[in-house]
Amino acid sequence: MTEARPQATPSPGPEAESSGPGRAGRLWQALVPDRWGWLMLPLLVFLLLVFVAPLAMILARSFTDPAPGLQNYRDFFGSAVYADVLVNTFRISGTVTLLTLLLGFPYAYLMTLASPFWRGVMLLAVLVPFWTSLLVRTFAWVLMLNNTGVVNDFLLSVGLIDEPLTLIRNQTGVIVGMVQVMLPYAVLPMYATMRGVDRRLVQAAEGLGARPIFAFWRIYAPLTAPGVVAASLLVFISSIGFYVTPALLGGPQDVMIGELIVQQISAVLRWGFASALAVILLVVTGVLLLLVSRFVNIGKLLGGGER
Amino acid sequence: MAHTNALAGTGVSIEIDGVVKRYRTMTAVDHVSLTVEPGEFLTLLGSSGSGKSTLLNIIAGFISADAGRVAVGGRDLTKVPPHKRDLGMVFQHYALFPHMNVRDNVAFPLRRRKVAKAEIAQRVQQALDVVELGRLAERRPAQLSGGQQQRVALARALVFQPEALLMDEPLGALDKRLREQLQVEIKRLHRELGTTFVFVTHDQEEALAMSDRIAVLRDGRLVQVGTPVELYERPASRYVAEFLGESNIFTGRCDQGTFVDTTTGVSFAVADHHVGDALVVRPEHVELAAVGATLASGRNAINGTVREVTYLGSGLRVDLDLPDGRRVIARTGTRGIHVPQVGEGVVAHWDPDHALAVADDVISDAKSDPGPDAGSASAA
Amino acid sequence: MTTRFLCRAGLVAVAVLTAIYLVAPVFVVVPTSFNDSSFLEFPPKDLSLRWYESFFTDPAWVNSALNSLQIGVWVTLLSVVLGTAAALAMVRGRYPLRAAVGALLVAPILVPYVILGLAVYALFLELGLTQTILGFVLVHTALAVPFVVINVGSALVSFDERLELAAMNLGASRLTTFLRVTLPNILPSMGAGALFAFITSFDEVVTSIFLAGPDVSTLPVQMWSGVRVQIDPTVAAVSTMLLLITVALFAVAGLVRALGARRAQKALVAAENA
Repeated sequence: MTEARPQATPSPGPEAESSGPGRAGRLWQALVPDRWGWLMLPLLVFLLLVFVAPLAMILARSFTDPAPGLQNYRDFFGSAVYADVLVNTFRISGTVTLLTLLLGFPYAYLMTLASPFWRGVMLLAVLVPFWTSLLVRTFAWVLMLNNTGVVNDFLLSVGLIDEPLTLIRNQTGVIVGMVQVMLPYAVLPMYATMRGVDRRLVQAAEGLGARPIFAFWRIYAPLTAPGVVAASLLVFISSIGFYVTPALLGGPQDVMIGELIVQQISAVLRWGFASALAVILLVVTGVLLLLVSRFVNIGKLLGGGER
Repeated sequence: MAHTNALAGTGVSIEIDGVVKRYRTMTAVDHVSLTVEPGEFLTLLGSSGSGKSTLLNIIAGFISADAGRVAVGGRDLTKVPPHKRDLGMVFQHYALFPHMNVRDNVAFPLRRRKVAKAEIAQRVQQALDVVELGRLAERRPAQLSGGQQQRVALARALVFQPEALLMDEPLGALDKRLREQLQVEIKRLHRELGTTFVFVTHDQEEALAMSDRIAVLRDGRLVQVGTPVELYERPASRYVAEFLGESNIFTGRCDQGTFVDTTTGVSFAVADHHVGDALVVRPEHVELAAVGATLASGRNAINGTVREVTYLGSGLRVDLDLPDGRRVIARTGTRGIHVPQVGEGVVAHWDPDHALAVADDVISDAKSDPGPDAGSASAA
Repeated sequence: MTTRFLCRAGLVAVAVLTAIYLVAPVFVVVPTSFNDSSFLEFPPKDLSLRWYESFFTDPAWVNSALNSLQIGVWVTLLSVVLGTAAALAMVRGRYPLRAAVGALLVAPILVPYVILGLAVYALFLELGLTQTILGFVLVHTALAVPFVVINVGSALVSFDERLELAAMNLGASRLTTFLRVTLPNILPSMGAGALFAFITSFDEVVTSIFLAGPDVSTLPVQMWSGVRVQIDPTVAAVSTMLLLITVALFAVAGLVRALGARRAQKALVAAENA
């Protein structure tokens, strides 16, 4: 039995809190906001007008523009060109996810081992790009990767190559740029999970005779799995919706679905088809998000001072 | 303590009349009626879940009762919002405003009452002087020790000369020494101010040490109200006896001055007018004698074997095993008595006038737990 | 022991390279911005400030920067008000469909920006809100408000509500209690939320590309076209200035935290000695 504490908010009056509310009373309580609950209304109305309504319009338009029916979806799934775009989107996103994990996991792991000072430095290295404008970063890659950029200069001067490599306006550029953008999103959740893992478990396993590598893979890695799964899904979901980086660093061969949507509007004004593309992307994103929410609290992932 | 008068209040009565508070699954306060006399120090004592804090919060106006009324100084407060009740309150973890320094914390109630600036400064300083914290006025609560925070909370609750002061386990977060020191200070404040104090605690020693009267609550019901002496010497029931101090309890039947232990069939003499199913004998009334020694006539006696002897400084505590496996505790002085050895057979005896047959209200509710501080040692 | 040492060495090597990969490109833009030629060399041969001059003398750049500032301020105000109210409702209130509302509150940052950009563009074309400050403010607020809700919400969860009971007991009405006790205690989180909101708006590219046009543009859109069409070295100058602002913000935040830590330490010592 727990001591009856004062309510979170002082109770409004005997009638609201009174003994054993009837069925009707309980229904009333469930449907009608209380004094604080009404404060949700302004934002709710705002989001319904600025967020939900436009999305609903897009959904409707994908079935009605130019003519009612499934024509837009049939166009998309019936054409090899568009299928390529989808495959391309998934391939690039998959590659980006894999690379962020490969770089991010050891990085996050080392953060848990480092002294407070070096951990701070490592965290700063993750946060600086995080807080830097996306366009600044993308522009930086344009400078770095072009034929006379720093990377090619370096490789030429060392003698590894004889003529400049094409690193931009192709898939290499897209992936290099996107991995850099997505790395913080992978490192931060993985680091958060790893920090919560009791390292004494690994020591205990070693004390029980396990070889360090065995102990790491059988004890430590499984315990960090939730963070890894969360990180990879988050990176993958964000990647499939990317527009700016592929548009600036990619070539005509590497069009992702986001770019295709913009092209349909800016170049050919096919509203219905662009809407259908958006709906497809939205559905894929939604399904993946549902998957994430089974592993982690999304709100928590976005909070904690990160964005 | 020349300044104390600056905070002196006029003690008013608090009348609690048939107050009920129900939650979905339980009744937190069940028809409690109680009058706190003007200037009295009354403690609401009970284990967690007894409804003592709920009752205090109803008085303060944070929780509204489902039935009944609360009047302070004859003024019905049932419909008055908390901020117009004019009752000081000290919260469990002080609830000092972390974004204000000590001075602003203490000035808060005066500012709400639109007291003139100069007067605020003067009264805040006086209040802080009373709790001996005048030099820490610029500190933030986080920069104070627990005991200092407690004093600020007291000053803040008293500075506007409330009609009564409510305290919800105010010493719970402090260590033992500090707690005892503050108990003394709170008593002193009470004596000097003359304000009515209502104090909530689960600590029976604290209740005994501080209160003019104690109201024992159990499962939302008022079990007994009385002075510490009354409660200790004349508990109304086994629950109260076990909750306040240590007791030896025998269960049985009481009839015409004789109490028959139902487990063993042994009978004890008790005062004639007693009725009840539990016999309470306080350990300090149990004396020990060697087997075969002659006892004064009319004394109740029972044989046992010494299990443990504990030296307490002021005396001894002796735990006896009875033949049927139950236990009896005796507290004795160290001088001029037979000091028993572990394993020795002894006779425990007491004056029938010190045995009290009371209602056995514990067995009926096997789940009830007197709480960690009850310190009861049941022999039954 | 040696394998473990090698493992650690490998780990450190990967981490160092990753850190360089994360940070270095960002700082390449700084020397580049001082380049004298319109052909972006690194390292630059001749130094000059001509690209900074180009920024401050070109009305297109200056106007877009001013627009971004103006939009950012409005977005910050709007999302702090809407977001704080919503956080109060979320933590303290009772309202129907909690799970659905909760999902809606974070949805804007989870939906790909291209989709929202397209959807809002379609609606705003009809309403005549494209190429208007108001249009940008509305969309950016939808994107920024979740950060305020999350920040203020977590502050409210950890706020000790007994402080409010204490205030009321001491004679403060509900409104006074909120203004004098609740608000000051959640203010730091509102500030953090406001900062997030401003940066979200100031940085937003994708949805802005849809809404912008020759009449009204924002700084990121201007930068976008400066890279997209043909590389305009002015972008390097703008990037450098934005970086400087970021670093300054970091320094201020770090300084505030360091001062706070020192003050807390001093306070602790004082409390022990008292």
